[in-house]
Amino acid sequence: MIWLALRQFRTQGLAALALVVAASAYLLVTGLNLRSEYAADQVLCTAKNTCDAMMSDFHRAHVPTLDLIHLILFVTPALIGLFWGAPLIARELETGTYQLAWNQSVTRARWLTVKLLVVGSAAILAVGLLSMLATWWGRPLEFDASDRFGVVAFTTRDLVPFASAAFAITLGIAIGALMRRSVPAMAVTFAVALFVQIFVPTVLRPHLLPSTTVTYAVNEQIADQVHGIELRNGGSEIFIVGPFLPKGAWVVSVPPVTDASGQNVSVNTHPDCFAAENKPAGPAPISDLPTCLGQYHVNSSVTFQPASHYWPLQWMQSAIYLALAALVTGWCFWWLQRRRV
Amino acid sequence: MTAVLQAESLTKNYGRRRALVDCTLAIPPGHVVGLVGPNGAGKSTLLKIACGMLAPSTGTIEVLGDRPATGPAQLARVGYVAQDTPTYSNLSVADHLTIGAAMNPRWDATLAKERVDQLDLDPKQKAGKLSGGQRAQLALTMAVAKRPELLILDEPVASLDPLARRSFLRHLMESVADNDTSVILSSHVMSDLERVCDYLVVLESSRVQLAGETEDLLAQHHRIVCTRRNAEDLPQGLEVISAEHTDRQSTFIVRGEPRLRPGDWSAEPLALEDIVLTYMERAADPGRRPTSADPEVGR
Repeated sequence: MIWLALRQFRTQGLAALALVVAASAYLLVTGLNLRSEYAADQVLCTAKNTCDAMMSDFHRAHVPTLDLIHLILFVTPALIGLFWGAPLIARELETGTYQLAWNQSVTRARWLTVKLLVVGSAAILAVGLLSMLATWWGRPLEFDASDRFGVVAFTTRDLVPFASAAFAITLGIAIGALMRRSVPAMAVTFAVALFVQIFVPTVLRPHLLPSTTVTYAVNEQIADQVHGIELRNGGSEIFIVGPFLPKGAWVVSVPPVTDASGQNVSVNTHPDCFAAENKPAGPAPISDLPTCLGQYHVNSSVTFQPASHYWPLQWMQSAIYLALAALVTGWCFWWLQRRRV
Repeated sequence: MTAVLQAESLTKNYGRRRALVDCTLAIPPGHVVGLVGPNGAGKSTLLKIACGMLAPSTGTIEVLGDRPATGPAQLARVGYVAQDTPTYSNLSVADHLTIGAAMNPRWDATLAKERVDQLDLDPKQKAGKLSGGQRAQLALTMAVAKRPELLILDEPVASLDPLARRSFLRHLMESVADNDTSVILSSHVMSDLERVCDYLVVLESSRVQLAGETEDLLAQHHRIVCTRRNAEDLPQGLEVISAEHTDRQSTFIVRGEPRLRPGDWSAEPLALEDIVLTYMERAADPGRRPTSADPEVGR
């Protein structure tokens, strides 16, 4: 049985191997260049004492590439589900070859187990290898540990990509078995896998562990902790980020700044504090706003998960994918046992 | 000896459609069994149940004394060539033989290689590039080299031209003659089966209409031609399968030994094809079944 499974997977496997080798070579070469550039910049900026500006330039030059690498890795499990998973059974049903396979002296359960192991382990290996390379590639660019909590970064690094590859491949196999036609099954697999890939880290992940919410008065005492102030909807909502946020924490949500009665603080309700922002002569320093708002007793809050939650969340998100994969695999075996042509 | 196929009240429904109804059969071993019936009569359904591709809705079936496809051992004992003889189109002939060798404990590599040579198949050729006849031969080779005790073939020659049909059936007979393999093959064309089968099962309207060794069937059935009369006026002990009447003459097809008193009637043997067609017509159109209430006859 293993021979048939390997033989059927040969073309796809070799194509994927070529892609993985090419991608790895690219990541290795550019990753090494990135490191030598980083080292050179460090020497240069230490000498000139301009490291902040120079590192910021370095970051700006290379982060788009890292984002692109992460994005490609983010959709890779869905693509693997599409190309490897969906046709695995659907193609046999479409062409009738399942009748040949199921009438050799090998039970259907064994047939599926071997197919699943061959394709599944190839998928997990391919995604896992690329993910580890990408993590290594981006290491010089990590200034802020909170970056790794980003939806795309979190899902494409460490444990999660292994689990999401396992899920996507089993999902494809099950959808192929259900729909019995490869092409529609491929489209549906891609859509569903991508949906889950987005849904789990954006909607489920914030609730996997209890977040911490800190509510604080906006005044001159927090002024030097502020990282950024954002005005949205034409200045009707003000957001302050930075105060009471531990290093490397993941910001789950930041509600708008409110006054004592719970109303949103806006440019219009407190024009005197924002007057400076509108001056053509140039905005007032960031620290002026909290000081100015301090006289009106306004509050802000932040909800976050501390940096220490990174690994528990990695394990939990992976567990979700693996549980889904187990569920879908279980369904496949159940389907196989009670299949009626 | 255990029956090759023993079915008790086997029924298979696809939703509300009844594909097989109350099928009871006991096929003894050592035969080449022809399963004949028009398209949609339930032939494929019965064969798929026999090899475990389908589960019956109700009733029981045992193949070689065991329930179909219960495990590797039972799978090894039954060879099955599906309708349209599917093969992996992107794998070569040699690949198919490797699959057979890897997946069957009793695989006969010598036999497989001999057959491929004999058929002039290029081992490097992709199965997708083979003609319909060659593909059917490849599928048959895989099923035969598995050395099954029972070989089931579903309409194996349906898509072949007459020459390929003949050669396929000849190879089939050669392959099974040496090994005491029982064979069940289905067709909607009686002439395909007539040459090779020594046991016949007629399926029509989802029911088994007739089953038995061809020799017995030929010996048991007769056509009686006589002056016009009712079926009841025939000698006792004859089962009337069909009756046709013209103004002056009646033609009966009967089962049983016709011991006719001398008179204005004569009994003659029937060709196998006529027997089969008679049963099929009767099943397809129950209104023509001869009964005493038949107004044509009673007049």
